[in-house]
Amino acid sequence: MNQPQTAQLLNRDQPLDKLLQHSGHIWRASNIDCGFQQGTPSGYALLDQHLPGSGWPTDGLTELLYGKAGIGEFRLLSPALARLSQHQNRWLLWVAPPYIPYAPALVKAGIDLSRVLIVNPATDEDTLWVLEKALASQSCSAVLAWPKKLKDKHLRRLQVACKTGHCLGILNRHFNAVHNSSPAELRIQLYADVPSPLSEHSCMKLKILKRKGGWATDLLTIELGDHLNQITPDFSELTVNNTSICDRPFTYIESSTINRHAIQ
Amino acid sequence: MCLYFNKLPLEVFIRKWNQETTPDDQAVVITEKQRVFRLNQAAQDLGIKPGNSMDTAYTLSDKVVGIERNEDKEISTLSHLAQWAYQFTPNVSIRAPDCLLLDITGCTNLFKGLDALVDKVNQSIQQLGYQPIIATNVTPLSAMLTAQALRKGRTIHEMNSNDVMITEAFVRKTISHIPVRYLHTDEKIINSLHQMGVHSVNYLLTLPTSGLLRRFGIYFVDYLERLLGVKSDPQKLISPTAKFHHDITFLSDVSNLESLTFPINRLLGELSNFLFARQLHINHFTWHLSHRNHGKKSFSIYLANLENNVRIFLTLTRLKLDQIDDVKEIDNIALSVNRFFPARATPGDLFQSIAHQGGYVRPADKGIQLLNMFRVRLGPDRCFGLSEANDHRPEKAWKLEPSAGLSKEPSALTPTTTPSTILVDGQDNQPRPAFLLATPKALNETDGEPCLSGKLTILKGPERIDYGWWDQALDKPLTRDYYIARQEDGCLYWVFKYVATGRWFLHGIFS
Repeated sequence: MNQPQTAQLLNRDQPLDKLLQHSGHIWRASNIDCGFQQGTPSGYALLDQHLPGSGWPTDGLTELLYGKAGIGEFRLLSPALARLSQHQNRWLLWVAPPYIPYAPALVKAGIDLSRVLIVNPATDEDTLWVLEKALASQSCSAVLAWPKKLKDKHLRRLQVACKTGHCLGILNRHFNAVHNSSPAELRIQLYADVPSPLSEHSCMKLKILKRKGGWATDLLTIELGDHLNQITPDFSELTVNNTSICDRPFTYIESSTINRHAIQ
Repeated sequence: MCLYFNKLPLEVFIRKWNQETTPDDQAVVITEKQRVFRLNQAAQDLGIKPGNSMDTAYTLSDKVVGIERNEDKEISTLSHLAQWAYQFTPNVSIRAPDCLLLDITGCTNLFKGLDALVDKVNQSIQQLGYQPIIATNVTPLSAMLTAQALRKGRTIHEMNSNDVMITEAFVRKTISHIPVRYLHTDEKIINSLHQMGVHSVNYLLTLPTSGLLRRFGIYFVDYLERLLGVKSDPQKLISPTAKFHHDITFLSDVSNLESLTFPINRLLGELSNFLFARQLHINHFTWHLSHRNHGKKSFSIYLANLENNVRIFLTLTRLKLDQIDDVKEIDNIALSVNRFFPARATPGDLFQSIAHQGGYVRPADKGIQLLNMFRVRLGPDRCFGLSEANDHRPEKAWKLEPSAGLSKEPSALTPTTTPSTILVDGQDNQPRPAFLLATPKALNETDGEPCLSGKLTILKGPERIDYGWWDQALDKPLTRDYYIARQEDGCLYWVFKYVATGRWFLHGIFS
């Protein structure tokens, strides 16, 4: 669509054009490049390429949809969280996390613990209240939440609050909600993945379901920089009388070790 | 006026017991360094004398109660009494260890004469359970001297003139009979006065000043001049402790708590003026809602930081008020604050707006406000920070920081670039899971291999943790080998095996 045509179309008396002009929430594929706020770099180049603003949106809600904890959702976020905690003098708020966030792990990820604040509301109602207040307060750099029940109207309020507070709002939800519509700015479904034995890092798959200025993507495989797929060298053969201590701990990894040798 | 609490060491203890619990004939002695220091009438009747040892006292009667003297308590009682005396005159000063001086020049008219005032003071302090000796005179020191020279009861010297000459003559007259040993001066001076044959103040005051100056030095002469009122004797006056309590009584009952906003606003406005005028901050205030038929309901609001910003107080009060549903109607609302802290000047950060991206300016204490709101609505134990602890055991390597935000956080001016870490040696390279289970979960096993809804593949390990035997039960297994395990679908877990029993447990999730 070229420029003169657009001008012609914008007839100010037409209700549709009025709507397009005055509400900032409707975008058209034709103005795809304009109005993106620079996001917070996620630390993963491949993901950044696909995210609008080349990073996690800092003024909109992000939904992460997955089945169960342990697939790497925190490892996916940790570079961005570390960056936020070190560069911004604001809270890193955890609302109703399912388990205790483990302080030594957070430190290892580079997160400044003095910025971390954990809130455990007693009721769902309180959770929503905390979320809205925190997102809109401008005093949180990121809000991670594990809400139990969320309705469309709740999400809408949170999205508005997020805009006010310039804050990275991350909702961890079960993937059952994938088919519900959501006003969140970014929706990503996460899948667990088994890395190849050759890789040093573990990995995960993700699919961007909804993003500003783009369509849903295919499955992307993200290699998490966690060094967790390394295999500890087996020193037990070197020591002599150590069998009782090491009580067969390495039998489980033999297959992968062998594979690696075979390939090399 | 001087109140001389000659029995203070005794009274701080006995007063509480009251007449019912300790009959008057119970002999009580207060000891200091194992010697009897003060004693009550019953003990005196037994023949115990000050300076006797406790053994002597017990020999005379086995019913004697001996209490070690507590000077701190005497001082605090005295300052408490000074606050009490503030109701009679604004000019109260404390003379440790046992005297209160009240300047009653300006308030005799108010209490309808000196006699009536002394009566009133005497009556009201007797009710508190003290029996001081009360004496009045025209200079502070002479009042004190008069009181201390008295055995018991009270004496009044009244004079209606401000002339210095008349004052001096008056004091000379009233204290002339007092022996010199009651003067507040060195033991040495008193001894030499005795050696000179001067036994009463009367003789002392007839001696020439120049001679006294040469013999006893400037301090003694200065003391005498202040005693006589020739020199002015400014006193260190106490100031009343700050307390804030204001209330509003409604003519008709208020049943809708929403409509309290206006009176609340007004009370907070008064508090604001109070704090501003005195440059004070508070960290906690209390609201009292009461009704003449239903009794009282109070709620306190604690702040994460010292504040004097009334707008914050109002927001927090509203939050708390929303949660109250058991108050039907009230006819009185009161706001009280008991503890105050001096205001600290906190300069604003010049570079605050550069500290984070986005270019918008945020007041440094917004984070604290948010914390305050959470605390008030959810309860203080529902929000906390985290910190590391110096321990090898994973479950003890962290702790909750309930006071997050109180001291260092968001108000810190410079963003820290290196997180403060306590590196437990050898552990810094070991991976740790982002989530830790509060209590380890026992895993099923097949052929000695751990299972969690499917087989677990061990990726890394073992990492042996064998630590903390001193605070564990002896029969509990101690040594643990930690492994990183992968489920078939790729989820990573942190599992451990007790070396002694071989049992597997899930302890963390690599989220």
